Amino acid sequence: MATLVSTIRDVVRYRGTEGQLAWIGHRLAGLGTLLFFIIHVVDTSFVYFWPEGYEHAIRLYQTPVFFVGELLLVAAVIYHGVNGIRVAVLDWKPRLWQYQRPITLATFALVALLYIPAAAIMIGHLIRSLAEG
Amino acid sequence: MTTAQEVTHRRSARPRPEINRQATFWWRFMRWSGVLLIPLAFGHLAIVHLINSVAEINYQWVIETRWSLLSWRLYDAFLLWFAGLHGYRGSLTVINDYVHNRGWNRALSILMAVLLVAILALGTIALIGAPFELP
Repeated sequence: MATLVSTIRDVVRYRGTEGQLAWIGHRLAGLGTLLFFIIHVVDTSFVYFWPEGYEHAIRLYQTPVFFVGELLLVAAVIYHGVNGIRVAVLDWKPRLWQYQRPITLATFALVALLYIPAAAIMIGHLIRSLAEG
Repeated sequence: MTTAQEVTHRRSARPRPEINRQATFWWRFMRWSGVLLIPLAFGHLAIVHLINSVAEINYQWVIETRWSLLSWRLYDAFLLWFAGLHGYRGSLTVINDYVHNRGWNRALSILMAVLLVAILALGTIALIGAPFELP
């Protein structure tokens, strides 16, 4: 517990600018995606083990609370994926390290470019399904 | 002008472990599986959340549209295994960064390994066992 408190305090204190932001975002997005992944494999396995349970789980996913979760999940996966490619490419090509800052900012921009239309489409789906009742 | 040698000594996100072969394997695995998961995970989200929507999904849709084709079951199997292993290894990195108590570190690592085996087993059995129906 003390470790957790000091970890959070140090993360806030350490003024690592966009590099630290990219790193903490990667970690949070990864953990969030992992949590949903575990739940999602269990509910998908119901297709085989318990079909009625699967229908119940999907109806739960169609509620507004889970719609917010869906928006967060897609943001997390897009961010973790694009930023992960940045990490892999920079580890592979150390010569690019001199451009760390612009590459990190370009990563954020690419995430926004992919996420904004994705979120718009999902919101469109929600509005259509609400209109149809 | 900086040489590659000088650059290598600078701060890296997570430097490649040079001595421990197992750690080096996992370091490489995280990067290659990550690259592979881009088409797998992004494709999965595009199909389920953008082209279709959560509102349209039900048991029948999965059986008749998705899992009626062996290739989609294989796709889901690849996604399951690579996402599972990538997430498992990532969780160990986080545990090792924050949990310094030996007992807790070990307990959490074992918990993640048990979860991994359970999730891979559940998902794989469902992918193999779910009824095949022609659309």
